[in-house]
Amino acid sequence: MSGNEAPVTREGVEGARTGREATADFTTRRKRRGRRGETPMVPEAEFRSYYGQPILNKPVWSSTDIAGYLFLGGLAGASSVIGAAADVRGEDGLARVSKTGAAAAATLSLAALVHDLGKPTRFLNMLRVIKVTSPMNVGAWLLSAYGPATVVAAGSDLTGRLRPLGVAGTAGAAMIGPAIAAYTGALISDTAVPAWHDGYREMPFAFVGSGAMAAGGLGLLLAPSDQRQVPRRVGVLGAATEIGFLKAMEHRLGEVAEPYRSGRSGRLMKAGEGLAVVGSATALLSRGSSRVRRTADAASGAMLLAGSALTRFGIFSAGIASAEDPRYTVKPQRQRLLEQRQAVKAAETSSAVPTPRVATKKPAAANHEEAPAPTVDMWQQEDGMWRWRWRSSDASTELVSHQAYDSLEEAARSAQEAYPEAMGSGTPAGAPEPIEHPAVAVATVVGAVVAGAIRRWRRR
Amino acid sequence: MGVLRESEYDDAPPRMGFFTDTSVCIGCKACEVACKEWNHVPEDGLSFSGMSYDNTRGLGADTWRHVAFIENRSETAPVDLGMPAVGLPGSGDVRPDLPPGGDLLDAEGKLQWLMASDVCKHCTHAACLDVCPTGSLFRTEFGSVVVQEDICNGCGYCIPACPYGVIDQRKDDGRAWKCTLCYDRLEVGMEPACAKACPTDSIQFGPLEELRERAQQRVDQLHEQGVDVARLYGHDPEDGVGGDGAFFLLLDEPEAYGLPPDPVVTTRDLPAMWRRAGLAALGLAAGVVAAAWGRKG
Repeated sequence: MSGNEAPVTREGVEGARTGREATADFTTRRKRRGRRGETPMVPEAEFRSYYGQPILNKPVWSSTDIAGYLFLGGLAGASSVIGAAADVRGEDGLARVSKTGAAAAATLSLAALVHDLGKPTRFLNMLRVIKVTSPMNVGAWLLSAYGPATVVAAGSDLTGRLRPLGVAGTAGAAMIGPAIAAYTGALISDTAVPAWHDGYREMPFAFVGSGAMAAGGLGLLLAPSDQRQVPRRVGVLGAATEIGFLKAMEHRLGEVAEPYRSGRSGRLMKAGEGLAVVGSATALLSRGSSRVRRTADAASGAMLLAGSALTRFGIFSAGIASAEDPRYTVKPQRQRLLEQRQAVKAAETSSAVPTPRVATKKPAAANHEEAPAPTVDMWQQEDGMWRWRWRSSDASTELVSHQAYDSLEEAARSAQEAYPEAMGSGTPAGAPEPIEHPAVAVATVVGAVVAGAIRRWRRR
Repeated sequence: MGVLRESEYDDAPPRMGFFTDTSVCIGCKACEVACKEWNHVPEDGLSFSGMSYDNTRGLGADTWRHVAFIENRSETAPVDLGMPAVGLPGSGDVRPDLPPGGDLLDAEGKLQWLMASDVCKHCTHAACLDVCPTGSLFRTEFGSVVVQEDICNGCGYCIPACPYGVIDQRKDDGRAWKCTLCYDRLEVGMEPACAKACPTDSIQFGPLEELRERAQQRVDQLHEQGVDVARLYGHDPEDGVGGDGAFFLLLDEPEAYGLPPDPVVTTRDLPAMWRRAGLAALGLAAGVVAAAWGRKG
């Protein structure tokens, strides 16, 4: 009981809040919250958790399927636009590469999406409703228009048949393609996963950048040497966009962005970024004989493709990591609440006179009547420790203090806390309650003990 | 109220929900058992967690009620309520061998043991329902949120969408599962199995408006008794999820119970996400056009 100043008072109970800790909590609190509302600045939010268990249920998506889906969707979407642009420029080789790549990537991405469903046979259930509140539903509709368009565009290009249909397919794919590349940013942001949701401002831009980088990479890797200007520009522009928006996002998110920098996800992000930078530089500096240029372009294309893929896997894996650690869920929310409270308090303190937070509790009326009240008495054990005993008004029930106390005062305080009506009956009517000052507390305790003793003596 | 008007039920019954008063929870887990039996929820793993009396760990596909056990150190000792005496009354010789502190207290005599039964919150603005691409998740006439298992295709989108970590995928089945507020029982005028089984009325079921009033009375009562740590959680229709259909009275911060302190429905930001995705798509098209502009290199 040491350090237990005045357990009887409401303030004493109140003060206990700040020091309470879950024993099995593996994490530390960096800063304790100060006494209510007296710190001028917003202190850092404290972090507690339930045995370190995550708050969220993490995504059950397989990383190969869904991170792969994000990558393939971006590659396909941007490739479709390049394919159409190449048609307009009369660059048949680039057009063929981009259209075929788009069709293959779209088909694969659809396969990945269906494969990841818990019930793949029910894929078509996504098309029983149109729901803009569900990015996945919107994506399913987009894909069901986009997929066939890419296949028609590529098929017509490869076989040379059904030209008008091929043109329509190419145009359609080029129009839906950007949406395919961008919507996945909303898809993963529209979750409670901190590293994804909080990044929703930058995610779609980073995703189209990543898609452009991959599509440019594909062109650099496979298009004829005289038709690599467009993919070179698109790839480099895409890489710059992706890196720029991801950096901005990491900067804005602060602590929540940690998974983007550390652990497995951090390594994936770094590798992706490194490949994007080196791939872009190689693409820009590609000079010399046609053979050297061809090799350099192919290498840069492969790096841009791989860089985009690694970044998508990194983002996916960072999201999982942020969902697994309750810190990323709790701390930002706690901080938000703290700031709100601080704002409210600042508004209040400017005018209001501080009032003591004391709930006045009137003793039950029965205590003042003639009806017999329960009693408490205290005694010293042979070992010198003190105990109390509560006895019901009809003396049928006796409860003995669970603990032994060092002193009479402590025993009295404990009894006062547990059975105020039994103890309180000894205090004069109208006595201030609850007790606010240690001196008053001691006086009341002594009074209660005396009253209890008198009562006990009377009963004999 | 609002939630039902939005949900196109013409004359719906009042919105029903749970008020879980953790101050009277005794951690018996009758709710977990009743829920499993009534809803035929499969076994959720027989493992030892070492987390107090909790081996269930959290809500999931096969755990629709979960009782949390929190062991808190406290600067004040718990109120010593006494215990039945075994010696002669007034002898002063009452179990002199009794160790000071007893079994629930640590060396300093300071420990607080909290128990709380967690459940799906049946949010007013339910992220799982919003993001479900098949329409499998829907709002019932009672205002609860329920998965239609014959429609769910196991896409798993609802799982990371839930800000509370409630719904999850059943591995051998592929679909998402969670508390239904015992929709089948409600339809025939019965209360959910967990509330029925709760021996202390820690889990109270009823019309949400009524429960909110009752909860306010209870928290006022506790404050009057000096339990200043008592607070309501999820009761406020102005919070980030528009108020929970299942809300709680807690004796510590929500995160100590594994609950998010200030959850916000993710779809609140979806309009902004769509705007940005649209801009990004236009940006991609414009970027490629710009890159393709001009003479061949």
